[in-house]
Amino acid sequence: MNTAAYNDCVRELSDAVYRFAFKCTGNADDAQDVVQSGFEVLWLKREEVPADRAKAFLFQVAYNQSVSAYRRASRHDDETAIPDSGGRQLAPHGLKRALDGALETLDSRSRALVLLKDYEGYSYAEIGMLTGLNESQVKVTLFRARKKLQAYIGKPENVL
Amino acid sequence: MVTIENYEEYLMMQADGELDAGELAALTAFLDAHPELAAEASAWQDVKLVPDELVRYEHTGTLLREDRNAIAFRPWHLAVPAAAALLLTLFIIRNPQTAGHRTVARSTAPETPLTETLKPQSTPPATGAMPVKNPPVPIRSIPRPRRAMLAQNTPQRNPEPAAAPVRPAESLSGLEAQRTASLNIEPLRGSEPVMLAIAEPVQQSGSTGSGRQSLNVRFAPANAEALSLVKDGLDQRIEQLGRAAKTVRETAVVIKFGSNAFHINF
Repeated sequence: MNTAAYNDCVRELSDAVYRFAFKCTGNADDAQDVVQSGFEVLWLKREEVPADRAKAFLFQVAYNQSVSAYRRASRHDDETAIPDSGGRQLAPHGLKRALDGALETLDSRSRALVLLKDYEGYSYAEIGMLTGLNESQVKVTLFRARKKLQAYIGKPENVL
Repeated sequence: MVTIENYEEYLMMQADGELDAGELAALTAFLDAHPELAAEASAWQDVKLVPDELVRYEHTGTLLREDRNAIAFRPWHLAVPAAAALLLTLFIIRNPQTAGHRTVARSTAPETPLTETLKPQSTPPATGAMPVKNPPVPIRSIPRPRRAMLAQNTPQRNPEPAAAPVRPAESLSGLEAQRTASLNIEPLRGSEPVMLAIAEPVQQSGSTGSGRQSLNVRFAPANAEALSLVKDGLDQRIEQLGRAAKTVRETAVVIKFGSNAFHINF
């Protein structure tokens, strides 16, 4: 992958990686660190990573770092922050806000798997390659995570 | 096969788009058989997350890299050499004498006939040589005796037999031979001191038939020792060239390409 292809990856994937890291870590600063370190690693390994594998490589790095950052934050009992959309007012959407809240109740691995599936559209097999899990483990983890989300939004106090 | 124990997993896979045609058909058949469970399919769609497009990374510029090995090709890269070529062309056009004619030197001396310049001077020359009293002696070409005479006067450094004489008239083209024959060079005779040759145009008639001028070279009185030194130097150079030519002729050059060897003999 040459410099031009790398710069194309930056322009096309930086937002998606940040969004994923932001949802995983629940913290804007940690998410920025994840993005910067992810692209730094991609730049260092640009000779080994072809352009069509750059997205999977980035999300693999972002997954590992997001999970680690979330665990570090959990050990320090840091409060998670609501994502800042740059001052723009989000349209009130009870279900969406409830899902954001529900997402934060998941563990780091479950959260990352849900985001990889719903945000980026990876298949079970691809998620398994990114996270080091087999397909059965991915399906089981997602199943349990989705059941938790259903239970969370099923409570009226969480939606209203 | 879809059962009551695993139908929820199939509903999740349906919401994630992971069912193939056969599995989808099996799930459809199961739900047709259990219509009370069909309403649960929407519950799995409700917990599908949608990315928030408003959340964006604001520091994309800090991640971009420059290709240090590439040379940025800017428009002025074409303009500079084009302007230089245009200036050079204009310079050549405006100075045609530099295009095809080479001016080696220009003389600032007044253009006087050569005969006037060569008239005997009333005062003796600064070198102290005697002025020419007698008219120039016509000289003719004597190629072989001159070399033999010089060989007698100079010590033999190389005992090898002398190379085959080179007759200038024979080795030159017809035009060169004609020009050389018109020089009429004759070695010195007598005990008179000699000076360097002075060119004097002489109108020839008869030998060439064209009436054109040729140079009649004569040796004026000058320092004999200086002339002999010049001759010795020339002889040394000739001997060096002869030895070099002999060395080249006797040298065998071997060029090897892998397992092949090429011998070149001159």
